[in-house]
Amino acid sequence: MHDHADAHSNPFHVGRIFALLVALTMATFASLFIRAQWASAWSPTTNTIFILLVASAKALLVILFFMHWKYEKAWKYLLCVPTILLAIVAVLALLPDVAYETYEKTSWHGP
Amino acid sequence: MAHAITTEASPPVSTALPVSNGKLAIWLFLGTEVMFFTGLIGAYIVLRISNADTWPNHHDVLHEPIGAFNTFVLICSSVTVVLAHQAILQGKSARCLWLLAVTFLLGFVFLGVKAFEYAEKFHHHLLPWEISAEHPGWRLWSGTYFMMTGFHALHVLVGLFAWGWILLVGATVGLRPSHAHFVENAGIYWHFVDLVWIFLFPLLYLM
Repeated sequence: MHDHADAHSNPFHVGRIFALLVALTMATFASLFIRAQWASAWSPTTNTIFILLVASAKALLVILFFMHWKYEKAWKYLLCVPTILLAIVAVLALLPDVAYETYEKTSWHGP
Repeated sequence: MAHAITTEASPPVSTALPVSNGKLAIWLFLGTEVMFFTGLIGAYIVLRISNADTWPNHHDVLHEPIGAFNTFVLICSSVTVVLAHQAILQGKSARCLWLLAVTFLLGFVFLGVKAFEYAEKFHHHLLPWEISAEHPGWRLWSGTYFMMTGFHALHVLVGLFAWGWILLVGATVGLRPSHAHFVENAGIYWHFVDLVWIFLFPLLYLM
């Protein structure tokens, strides 16, 4: 019942849903066409940051409005923040030694 | 004593959080799914960076417009799910069924496009075991591409089973307001599948 009450109180109109559809579609095709047009003038790092920022903005819209995060109470942080932090740290932790191999290689000489 | 045993045997069914058991379960499940896809996407990022010199250019192996079209298809399916949930909350079960049928169809369109892409890779022998060891980057790309998109497609398939079941219920006995919980929870799962693709599209097709 609580969920129903929450859902009924959502200021979620058809117009807003279609505005989100337009925003998400435009973001998708913007990342496609802008990258195709301007990518040659950008450095690979700028290109990557731009593409990931657009993807993150789209993901945020989906989480906030479609997955109801904007309308849920604080329990969502209890469930999701530790997992998301662990996911980010797990990848970042692998970058120095595995991806960039910045460690100094040492050989095993045996006993 | 007997009373204490009875109490222990019958734990309260409500959760400590201000959320239904079903929604709590789906969010806990999605927590495990975040870690699952982190393993796949993290492996892709790490392997790609460590093999940057031999990694294929995405232009050579994938068509960007196809990936963008599939992104648009999944976004549209997310919108129809939201509209279906609103419809069932308002007691408009026929409208809800119609919108879920569109979602179901869009899910199949996504898988159809993905099948077309897979067939192309098979045709061009872009499979991990068919690529020469002289091109380690290409082999790794192929392995990670099929792992990530394959597991994502499996998740789409699971979502289609959920929508297929609710469509079957709606067509046989009819949808009731009590089905709103199912539509909402299955919808949250479907949006998560959309969310994963939102990150797979730029990683695979644009970078």
